[in-house]
Amino acid sequence: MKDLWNKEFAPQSVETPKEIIEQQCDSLERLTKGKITAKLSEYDGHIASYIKSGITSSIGAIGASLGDREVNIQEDLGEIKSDNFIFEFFITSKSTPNYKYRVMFIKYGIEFYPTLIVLDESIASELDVEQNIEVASQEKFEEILEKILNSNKIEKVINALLAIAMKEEKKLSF
Amino acid sequence: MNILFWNTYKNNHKSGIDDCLIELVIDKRCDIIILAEYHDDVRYLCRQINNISNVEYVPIPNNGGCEKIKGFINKKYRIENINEQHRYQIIKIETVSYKLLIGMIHNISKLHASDDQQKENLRFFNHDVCEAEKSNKTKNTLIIGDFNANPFEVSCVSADTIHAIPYIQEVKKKSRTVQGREYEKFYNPMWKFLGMREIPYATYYYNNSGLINYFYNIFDQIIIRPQLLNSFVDESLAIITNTLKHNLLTGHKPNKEYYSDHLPIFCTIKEENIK
Repeated sequence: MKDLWNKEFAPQSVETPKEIIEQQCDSLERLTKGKITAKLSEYDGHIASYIKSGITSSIGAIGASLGDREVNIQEDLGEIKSDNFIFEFFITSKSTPNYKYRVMFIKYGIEFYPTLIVLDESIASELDVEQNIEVASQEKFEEILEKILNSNKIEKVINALLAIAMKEEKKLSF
Repeated sequence: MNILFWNTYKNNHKSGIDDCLIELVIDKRCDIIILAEYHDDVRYLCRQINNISNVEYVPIPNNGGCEKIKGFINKKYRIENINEQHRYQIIKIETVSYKLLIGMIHNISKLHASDDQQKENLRFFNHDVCEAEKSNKTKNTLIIGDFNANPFEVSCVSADTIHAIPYIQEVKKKSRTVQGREYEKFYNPMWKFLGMREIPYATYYYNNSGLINYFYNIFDQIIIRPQLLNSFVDESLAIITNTLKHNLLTGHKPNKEYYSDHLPIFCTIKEENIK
């Protein structure tokens, strides 16, 4: 019998939000010579459900235009809710392993996109975006992630942690 | 250990909020001073106090993650910065005999957010507190700050937020299971101030034009885990209305024109009773 499959299959080339962030975690460790660590951990809590206003800023165009509506993530990604992945992305350091500053949560289903980002309030304010951003594609996710990683807030925290690391190094060298 | 919290409302310089703080810190022999909306340099305040106090204070370490809370602490304590988020910070105090976690919060205001958003922040906060308790192997936790919600509001009482209950017998049961999920409790002693016939009625006054108007609000709160019940000195808990030289009230309300729209709160923890 002839082959009824009229298609050629190829694995999807999309990277998951988790993979993309993990690459950036490696980069930060390399850039800071192992002193600062960014981590992505599974999160078992509830992350977002409240009334929010529409995205109005220039950067806001990155996210879907949500308008004024209730964001109940269980319903937004409801069809795939049993397969949701929720992670928290945070910064810590080798010399303060007990410390955590959480940059954001991410949440996505088995199709990876759309992905929901729940951003730290001060970073959202600095970037003039809503705290809850829904991104439709890998490209949009990378675009907003780049802005987040280059925010003044993250730079401030990393610089403070680097200062602690330097002091620790000095102590050890004596 | 004496703990003071005050939302200083952008440091009104008419009267000198620093003068009030210096008086309070020395008069109340404070060990930990936690401030919200304090817009000046806390290191400078610390130096001012150190010049006249027998106790040496140092700023509570902050890596810039939390921008809503500042503070300083008696230098004798060894502290570790555990978690920083925009609106809250968790620190650990460790001595040879005990560990103590202190969560400090300035929650989002009702003027800028819905009740649900306030609840959301407290839910994240509680999750981070529970995680800190787990990783530091202690339930000796005290939370203090401007919750921007009253003790009776859903955001304070709900099991999935901070689950702060005013009844010791219930709190002693430590946790409650709701739909298969276990939620640990906090004891909230602030309820005792509700309905007081004498001043201070509350820590914050707001007269709105809506159908529901509480007028006097207890937004500034201290709550503790049941593990700290024996250490918490009930009679020490106070809403402060005056310093030695300054009356922080105008009539029955906080004098926001001269000082702050919030009143300070204070409590004592008997360290020898912390296990």
